[in-house]
Amino acid sequence: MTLIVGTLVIIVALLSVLVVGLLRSHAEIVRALHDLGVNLDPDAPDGTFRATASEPGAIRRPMVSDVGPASTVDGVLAPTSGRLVVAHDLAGATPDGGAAVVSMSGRPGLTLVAFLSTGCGTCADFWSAFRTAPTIGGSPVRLIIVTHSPAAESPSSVAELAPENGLVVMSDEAFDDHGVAAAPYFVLVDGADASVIGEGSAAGWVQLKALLQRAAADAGWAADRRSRRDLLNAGARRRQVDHALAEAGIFPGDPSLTPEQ
Amino acid sequence: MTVLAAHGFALTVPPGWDARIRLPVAQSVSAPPSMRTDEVVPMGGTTNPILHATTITLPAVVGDYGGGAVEHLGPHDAFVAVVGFDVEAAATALFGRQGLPTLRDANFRPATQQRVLAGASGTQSFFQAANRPYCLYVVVGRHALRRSVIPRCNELLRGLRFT
Repeated sequence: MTLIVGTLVIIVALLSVLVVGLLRSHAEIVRALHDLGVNLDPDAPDGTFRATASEPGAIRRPMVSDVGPASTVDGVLAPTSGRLVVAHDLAGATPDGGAAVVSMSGRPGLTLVAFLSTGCGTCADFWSAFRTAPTIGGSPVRLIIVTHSPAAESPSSVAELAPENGLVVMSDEAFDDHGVAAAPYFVLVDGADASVIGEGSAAGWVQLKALLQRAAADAGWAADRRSRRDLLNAGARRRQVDHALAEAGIFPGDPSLTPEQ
Repeated sequence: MTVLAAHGFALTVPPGWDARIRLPVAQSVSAPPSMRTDEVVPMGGTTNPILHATTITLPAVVGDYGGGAVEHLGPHDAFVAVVGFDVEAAATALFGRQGLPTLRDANFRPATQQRVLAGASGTQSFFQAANRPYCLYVVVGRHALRRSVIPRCNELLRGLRFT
């Protein structure tokens, strides 16, 4: 009898510790949300965002369409408005006078689509960097360089700058399909299903590589392989982060995401 | 579907295929050391139009008959090359057939490869179209599974026009 009672006491003590831990975690989450301006109390006064914004008179959450174009440093293109979800197949001329179609799905590994120009100064660093086959997280990446069509770019200049074994497609349609307003701009694609892992621009290859590695890691890409668990965890984590930010009224382009400005 | 057109080819590319049309230019390369000379020698390969298509990632540099690509074919993959020949060759019996042939299971043999790869098989046909001679060369990644791949190749070839 004493043994049973003792065991029950231990179990109750452990459960108590667990409950206290959960309550503490919940309190930290609520505190963090409050710091971000979110009040979970439906009777909270105006001036803070409510968790339920559908009530009459509630403060409307800003939508993506409400957010103006993000500002960046000189030479770096602002992200495109809207979110590119799936990459399009690339089709166009090649610098040697031929033509090429590149399928973006059904290809294992990562694909980096680099929208470059022969005339922009910022692009020069990337043309030079791509003479060495790029890697992300230690894994090789399929690189496809896209320039404007021969009507706007000199094929001989493109051929001169292009990596010796690099694939270059000259296509205005590719710029339009991916919503790219100007070079340099980059789209990182999961070759399995053509889903876009990340997109944007940077002032140099070193900076871009760090951003790409982070985007790849967030999407569940390990250095050499990704497991189902990696995928599921990354997807869940991404959704959680997006949801928490959205609940806090933080959407793409929010000034708080670029604290240096 | 995307239409790819250049150098006498117009190809409607089905989803999932990489394709490229090019016109190789004559190049010179240094003689190999075994020739013990500093002279330049003509680089091998045709200078006629070539069309390459494959269900895998088409490498930036591919040999006329798929070298550099066929080695990477999976069991359900295929590589297709349509290689042009000099116009004068159209008058020869080798290129007497008019138009692209339709691929059949029986055409594929493991020995019909430029460089024999274990498990794979290939087929080669000569024909002429638009008064120009061509060679059709197709490799499938796994001979035993060719019946699942050949219909895809025929779908691709049905979308090829010679201009």
